[in-house]
Amino acid sequence: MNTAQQARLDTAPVYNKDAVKKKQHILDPDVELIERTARGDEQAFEQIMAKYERAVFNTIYRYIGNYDDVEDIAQEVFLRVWRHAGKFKGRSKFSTWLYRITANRCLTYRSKHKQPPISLDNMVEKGMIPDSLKTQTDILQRERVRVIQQALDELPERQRMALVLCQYDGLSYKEIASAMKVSVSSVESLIFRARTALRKRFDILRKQGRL
Amino acid sequence: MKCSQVKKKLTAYIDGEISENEQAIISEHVKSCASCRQELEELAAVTRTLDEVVDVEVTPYFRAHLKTRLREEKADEEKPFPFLEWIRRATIPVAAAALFLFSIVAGGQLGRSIYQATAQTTRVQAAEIDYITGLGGFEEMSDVSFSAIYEDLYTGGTE
Repeated sequence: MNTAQQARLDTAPVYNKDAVKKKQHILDPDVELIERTARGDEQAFEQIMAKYERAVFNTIYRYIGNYDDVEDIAQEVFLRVWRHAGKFKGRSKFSTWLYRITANRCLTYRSKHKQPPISLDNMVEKGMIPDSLKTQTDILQRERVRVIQQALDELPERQRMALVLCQYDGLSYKEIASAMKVSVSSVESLIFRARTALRKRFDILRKQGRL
Repeated sequence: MKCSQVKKKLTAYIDGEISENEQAIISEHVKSCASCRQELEELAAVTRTLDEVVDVEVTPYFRAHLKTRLREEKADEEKPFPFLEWIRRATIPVAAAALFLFSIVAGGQLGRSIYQATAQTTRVQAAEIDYITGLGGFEEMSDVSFSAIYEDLYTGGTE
């Protein structure tokens, strides 16, 4: 999109629904996919899945810390997208809406399941560990990852969610605020407290020789 | 900017979530402030450590499982209700509607009965009052003035 097109879109009158819709489509290419999904188009839904399933999977995994339930929660997320596609009004980016669903599902899960055990061997069995770590040539690295993940799990729920969305999903503070339905300054505070807490935790783990 | 203010902004600084002006101020500040520089380095180290957590792979049959669930949902939506299921689902709304209608009809009847009973009681009470006070007797009086009646009483009706 060139500058002139962008300028035209930016000045599109808000009462012109077609212009607003066109603006949404150009700014967020997922809008068309979600609109087709709302009409029952399974191919469009598959494209959404192909684009976001890995991100959703990893967000859930990093948040709940228990991959045994990652698939179930990811299924719930995408089923909600399928069922409620018609409710997406384009007020935010589709990805933000998707992360909001994901965050809600994760928070609901964590309110029912407290601190699940972590077992990397189980991940290997399920085919969720990348090939680079499957060979077990670097057992120390795997243990290190487990310890980091455990420290992440020990953070309060909202701090962890904000940090996961920022650190791993690359969302801006504004997008995280929209996904978590809090203010941008709250997001900044949550991430600040999360990183400060992790810094102290990592210090202790280093002194214990576990990191 | 004071050290305490800078330290609060360091995570946002790492994430590139502050204005260009603030960014320039903090960059300058950490060059000359050892304490803030150390804090920044430690927070950046936390970020690097967190990056060591590798991505997990999507489970091999994830899409197949999801498609199965979608098909099941669709089948459930399209399946006509069996008669018994229809009865089971309809029982509560039908019972609620019946109760609502009954309440309206019964309420109307009850209201009418109360009104009629009250009206009857009022009529009986009015008749009793008339009887007790004797005011009903006025209806039988002849159409004459009070002075004539008085004269009749005084003279004994002789004139």
